[in-house]
Amino acid sequence: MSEAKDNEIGDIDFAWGIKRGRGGQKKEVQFYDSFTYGGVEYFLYDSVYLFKEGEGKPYIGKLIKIWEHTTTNARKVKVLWFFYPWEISNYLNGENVLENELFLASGVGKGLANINPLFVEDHVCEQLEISNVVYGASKGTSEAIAGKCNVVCISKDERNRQPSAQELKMAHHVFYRTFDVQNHTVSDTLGETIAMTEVNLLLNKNDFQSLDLCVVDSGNTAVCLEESLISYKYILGADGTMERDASIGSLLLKDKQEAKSSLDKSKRHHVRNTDVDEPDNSDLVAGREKMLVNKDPKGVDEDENYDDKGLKGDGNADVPDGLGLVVLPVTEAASASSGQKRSRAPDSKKNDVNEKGVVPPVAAADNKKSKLVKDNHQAIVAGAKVKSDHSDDKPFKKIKIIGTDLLSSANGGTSTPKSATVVSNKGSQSAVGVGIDSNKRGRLIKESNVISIGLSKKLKSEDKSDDKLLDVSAKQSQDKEGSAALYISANKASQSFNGDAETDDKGKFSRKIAGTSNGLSKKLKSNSMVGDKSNDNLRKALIKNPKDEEAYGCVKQVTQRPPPWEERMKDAHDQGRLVLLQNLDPTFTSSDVENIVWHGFGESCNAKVVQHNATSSRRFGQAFVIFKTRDLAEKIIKRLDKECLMLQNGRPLVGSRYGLCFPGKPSQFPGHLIVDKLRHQMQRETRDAVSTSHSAQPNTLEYEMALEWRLLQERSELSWKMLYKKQEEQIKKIMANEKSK
Amino acid sequence: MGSETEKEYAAFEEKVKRTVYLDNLSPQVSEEVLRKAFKQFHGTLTNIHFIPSYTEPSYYSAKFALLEFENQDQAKEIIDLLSDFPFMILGMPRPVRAFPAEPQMFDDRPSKAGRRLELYWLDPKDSDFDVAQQLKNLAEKHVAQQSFLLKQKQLEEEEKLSKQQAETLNTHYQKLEMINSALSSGSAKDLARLYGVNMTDVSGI
Repeated sequence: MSEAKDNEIGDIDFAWGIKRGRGGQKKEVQFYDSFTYGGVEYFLYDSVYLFKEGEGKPYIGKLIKIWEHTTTNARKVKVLWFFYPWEISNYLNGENVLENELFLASGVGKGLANINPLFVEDHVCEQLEISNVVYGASKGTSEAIAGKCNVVCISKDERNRQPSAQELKMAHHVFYRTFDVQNHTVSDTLGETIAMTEVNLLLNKNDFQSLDLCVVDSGNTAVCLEESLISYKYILGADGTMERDASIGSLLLKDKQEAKSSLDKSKRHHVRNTDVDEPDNSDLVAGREKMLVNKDPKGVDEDENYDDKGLKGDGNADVPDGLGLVVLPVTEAASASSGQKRSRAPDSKKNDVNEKGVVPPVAAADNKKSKLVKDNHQAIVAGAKVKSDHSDDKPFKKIKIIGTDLLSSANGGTSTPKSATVVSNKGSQSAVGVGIDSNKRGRLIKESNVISIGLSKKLKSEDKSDDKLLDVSAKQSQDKEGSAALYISANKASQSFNGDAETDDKGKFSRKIAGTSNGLSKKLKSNSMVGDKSNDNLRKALIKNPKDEEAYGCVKQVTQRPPPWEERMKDAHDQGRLVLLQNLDPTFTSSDVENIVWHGFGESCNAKVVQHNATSSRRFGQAFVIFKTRDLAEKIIKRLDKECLMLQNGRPLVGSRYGLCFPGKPSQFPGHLIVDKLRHQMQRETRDAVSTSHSAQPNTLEYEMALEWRLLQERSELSWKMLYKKQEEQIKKIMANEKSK
Repeated sequence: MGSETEKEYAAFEEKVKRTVYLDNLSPQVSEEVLRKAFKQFHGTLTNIHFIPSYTEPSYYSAKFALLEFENQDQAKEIIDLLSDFPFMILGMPRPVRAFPAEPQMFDDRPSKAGRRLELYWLDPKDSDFDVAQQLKNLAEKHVAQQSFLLKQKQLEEEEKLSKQQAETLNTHYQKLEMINSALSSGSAKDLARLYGVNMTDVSGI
């Protein structure tokens, strides 16, 4: 907070927008419909991110009232909260939750809405009589507005304008249900009013907000991106935690795949940087991307995005410069962007880093936020700096300042380097994505390409979101307008970018703070393996969802989007092309299985062995095989049934149609207990569910219960062993018969 | 082929050695949660991979994960620690279990070098044909048995235990609440005076 106070209030980039009316007992309260803060224009009923000091995870809320006390000059907003699913996990009771779903608060009581001062410095906490649902605007510890969030309402309520596929793609979050803070229930019906505002005002607006973003100054963007790209690389190098796939030189070589990946990564939504809370900067970066997004709402064909690889070369050529810039202190801008990005997945972190890089170095130059300077950030900032060189420094500066203001935790500094980097990566990815698009459009932004390529290299992100990301970015790069516009839109763009990423990133939506980029686990790698297909699948999946009535029940248990294989399997299963092979040798690999099918039947297929868990039989393995046609699958099953295809050790291969169960509803997980009374207290305080992982102390009740579970586990293990032993004996008996013949 | 695949496989085996298999995870556990949870330990987590379970019926909701550490010692340490002390992630009191990973738990494993696949179609007239058929049936039966065991025995037992514990927990809580309220409302004091019991022995008032 102290950093925030460093900035004089006069410096804050704030301006009132559309007036609304007056109120209060003496007409001393002026209501507004919009205001501009940090270069971003916020409208009434917009969804915004709010960072609480000291917390890395932003809350999301809707601005339902904006006003200023003309006498005290106190500016306030009333924020209606959205709940993350994990915040109300106790009350969800195993219901299906979409990846990026939020729950709108409803009812009355604590946790419905807050009245927050617009700036962190405003410690005046007055409670307007207007709102009767006030959760005490805390003194100096209220949440700070940190950028807009693209939340799309997907409720089937007739008052709600159904969002388009594009909107959904670009949305950071979706919501269609409410959570009553008093009764602690989740409901699909929206009711008439929530927090004294009409519900239809809270639903999707009829204008495409995301589309009215300004155009990005492509030239600047390009340069910046390029620079940032370089810095990104540089940063990554510095940061051991980053996964670096290639050297700068390899940037050029990155093929579309990677570019795609990087875009995906950038799409990764918000890195949760516990330490970094610099919303504005990320806004800035995001904004740029957002601009790109807005430029072309329609999804762009992936292929389009990957042209101009040659341009990458240019980008690389500039690397040396970028590197130089990299050294520049990463300003808060960078951190802000990372914070703002709030990537939840490690990937996103990377994106953010890049984004930061894109943030104009101007911020760096300012060095106002030098405290946040981290190597990583620096690089990013450097990148940004380059950009700013070309464009107006002012907007960036402005935003940067805002970012500082909004910095809730100054600690972004040291602790964040890694996370910030990661976050920046995410940002840069977006930026890169942007760059690529622009290139595609008019080869204006080479750097973007480079950056994106670099990013993709680094991130090995999933392919899926790439095309989306690219689309977004491409659109934006086209424009060449004032940087001011750039930044403002950038902010918006980033929002949509993030949203895009989030939407795309079905599986990647991790709500916890992404610690390091290590999160880029092999999941990402395996994801990228599938390549184009996943993109299509993703698109398909994405588009499918909104239309599907069952979409709400589309559960993604795993925190990342269903791997491409799962998608294909599902499709194959639906079309009857999926066969489950059993009785395989457990040491077979997927390719072995494919070979077997080839040799045995002369047919090609795609196979994947089923992974064992602790309770699987060690004796045999299973594999899912996807055939090209349904008839083929049936034929094979029949043949396996009638005749015997023997593998080694006299095992006959068994094929069947059944056995495919997808992870369904996350039903109640037996064993995790909550005391009912304590639930009431757990509402918003249990943000740190993550930190409740612990070992039990021997003298607690918990410990005893845990031991009981242990006992149960051991017992079940024993029973499994016995079962398998018996089965083994049975098999041996039969085989003995065989041999004796 | 040859050394390439061998090297690949050796690398894979090495990876397996330093990977820990975790189960009994709540379905709400995400990668982030795991990372944070294991940050408390000595080792450095390099990779987390959730095992998707396609064959398990949907009512069995526990998740499984493979945690890859930097080296084998770290992995071993974690396993030992987790087996000595019940470690709970994202909820209590069901502890997670850790085992050393096995190659079969990875779905993207490279082929073992030097494998040769033999397969042949059995002639129906072959005397072994019947046996093979029997084996096939048996295999299917076994699979059914496994899923039965899983559902009936394991899941039921788990739920039973969970209910039991919930009850116990609730009664304990109520007991404590009662005590608390008695103390705070002063009725305990009154009673103490009435019976002439010295209250100063009671701690935590």
